Amino acid sequence: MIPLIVAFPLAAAFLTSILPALRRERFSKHLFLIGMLSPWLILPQIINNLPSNEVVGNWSRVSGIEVAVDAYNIPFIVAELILSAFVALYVWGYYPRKIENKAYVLILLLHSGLLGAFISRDLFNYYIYMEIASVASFALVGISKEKGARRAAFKYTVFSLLASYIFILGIGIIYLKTGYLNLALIKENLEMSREINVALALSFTSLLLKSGIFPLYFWLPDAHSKADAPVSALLSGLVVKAPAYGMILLTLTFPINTSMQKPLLTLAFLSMFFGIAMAILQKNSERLLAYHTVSQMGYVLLGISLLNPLAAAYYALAHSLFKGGLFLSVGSLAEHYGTRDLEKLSYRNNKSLMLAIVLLSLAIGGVSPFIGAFGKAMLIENLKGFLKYAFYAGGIGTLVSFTKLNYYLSKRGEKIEIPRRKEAISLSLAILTLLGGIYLHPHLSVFKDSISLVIAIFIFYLLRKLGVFEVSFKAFTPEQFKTLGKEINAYMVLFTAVLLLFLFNFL
Amino acid sequence: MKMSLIVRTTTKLISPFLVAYSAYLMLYGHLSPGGGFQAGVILAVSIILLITSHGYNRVRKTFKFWEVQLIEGISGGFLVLLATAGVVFGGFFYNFLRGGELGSLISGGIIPLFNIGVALKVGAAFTFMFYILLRWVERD
Amino acid sequence: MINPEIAGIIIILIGLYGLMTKENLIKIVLSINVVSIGLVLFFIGTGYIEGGDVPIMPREKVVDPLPATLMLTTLVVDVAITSLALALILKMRREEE
Repeated sequence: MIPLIVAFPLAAAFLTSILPALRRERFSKHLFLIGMLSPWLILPQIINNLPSNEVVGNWSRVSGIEVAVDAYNIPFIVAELILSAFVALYVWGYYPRKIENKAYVLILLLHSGLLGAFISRDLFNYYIYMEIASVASFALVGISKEKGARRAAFKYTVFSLLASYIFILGIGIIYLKTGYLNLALIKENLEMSREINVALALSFTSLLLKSGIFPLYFWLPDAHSKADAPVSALLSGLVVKAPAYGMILLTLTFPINTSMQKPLLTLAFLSMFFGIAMAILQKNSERLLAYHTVSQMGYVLLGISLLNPLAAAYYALAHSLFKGGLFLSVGSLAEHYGTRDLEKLSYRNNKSLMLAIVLLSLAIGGVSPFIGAFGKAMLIENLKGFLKYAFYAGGIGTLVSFTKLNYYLSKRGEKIEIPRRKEAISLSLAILTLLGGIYLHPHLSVFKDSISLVIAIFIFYLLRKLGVFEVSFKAFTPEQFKTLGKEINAYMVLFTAVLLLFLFNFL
Repeated sequence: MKMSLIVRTTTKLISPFLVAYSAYLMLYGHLSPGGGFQAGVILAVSIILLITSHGYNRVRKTFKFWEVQLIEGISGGFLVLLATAGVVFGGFFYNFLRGGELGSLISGGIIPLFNIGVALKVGAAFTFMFYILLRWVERD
Repeated sequence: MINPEIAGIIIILIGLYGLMTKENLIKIVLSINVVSIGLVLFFIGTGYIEGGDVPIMPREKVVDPLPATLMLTTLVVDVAITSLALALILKMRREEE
């Protein structure tokens, strides 16, 4: 029964694509909504039988494809179902009539691809569903109406495809050595050797590029900021989580020794601080949120590198909810004002949006009892000494950049009308983070949180007085390259350097 | 973009043989080399051969846009429905038409039906892709 | 005889060199296709057994059929993404005019 949650959106996608040929295009909206919400029907049966695994088609394990749902999977699947339901309600009537049908088919394919990636326990099956989701997201970034969207989509396509090929190379070496692709069978027949280390280095590098961690982050700000608001919510909330799930699968199967943990730990902390530093200097609202995704994926990588996959999974669930909510609310503001510049946006006239953004900012900063505090409490259990203080500094940095966002949004602006439906969606996502936090982790640490908030507001005013926000930073923006070709060459050299670094470190 | 009379006549004669070869690959995919994807590519090539020799507008009048889209969507839906129908008999994608001796045509169960679905979908998808890419080129 | 696995890795390295130095967008797409061809050669080479036969009907010693199946799927993904990349290049040229 588990693969049925992938079959329903896939069937709905194919049926929606033939509606223009039958001249019944007005029904595509309704069929789209049925397709996106249909996996909720199977969810109670899956939750009753936790943990369960089955082989598709009732073949034996050696010759079949295995799918499973257990404690490492459930946070990802629940996050996917909740966020996609809210985005489906948001997208109703968003696209113009000419491309409406194609956008619905692409979002349905993205949904089924992500669900298939999250339930798989077989290396090749996981790769295939991740490719379905990636191709759908390339096309969704490409049909956006912003100015540089096609260029961003091309960059994203080239680098994601290259990372997929390197991942297949790693899978090939694992198959050459053990003779199986099923993860449970690999674990039984495993003998560590230098070739398996090389395969692990290749696989980890390619999954790092696909999820946007520090040195290999360059495609993420363009692709996530030039896409439309609901597509950005899906991309930042869910598509970058699928490679993180792949890393969790690899750490559960292969023994990772400390010489492999060190580069991953270093990259996690570097990514956290780099994302916050670049987010503080941005003037475009969606680019600020996209650089934040780089920072938060550093937190997920921290959980993976400390061999704590449950913490990484729950932090991924928390991040999907609040990043999706932020993109939807800030995106609806940006769309109705007609610009994405931070100085011109304001939420003073829409009280429910203001409440939603403030609640979500508190959630992402780790204030208890929101769900972000639960994720951070799980991550911090095994940290000692200097790393613990660096972790707290990262939390304060996140609060600083979100103070900046709220400060700019609370200035006066023109009065506009935002439809009730969009406000209701953002507000319900914000309330969901509060309820989720109370359900999972009902502690309240008022003292620590108020100290963090006071320090964050103080640092924000200090930076504003120093004039840091007027600096326009030329080094890391893509305008310094003249043509797209030279840009791809430069990033390619960076990718090869990181690949060689990982290879020589893991060997 | 029309080519000379000899080329046009030859491709009109060759094209049905390509369709017959693709049908052979579809149906005997479980007994000899071949299978769904290869059959679909050859099915698409039989139309693309006509596009390169007769010109895009002429072929588009015969093999219309919405017909190709309809074939693609219906065969995709047929594949998923075939897999879901297996749930009633056992697991998802269960082979519920077993039986038959080894080496004969009906011994595969749902595998030949799956091959037919995949071949039609892949053929329609490639033809559609060429229609869309050539539409921009021909307009200039 | 040249080992197919070594030849595959050399072709992948040639494709990566092409990605690092060429600026024309179509040449970048072609370099990615070269990487894909090297990958397919590497994979098929891992399944080869000396003196093996075609894996159709039950015989004594057969070549491993699994890598061929996996590479077929990879080729499908490669074709789909190449066509998407070419369509994006066409649309970028149209925007500049």
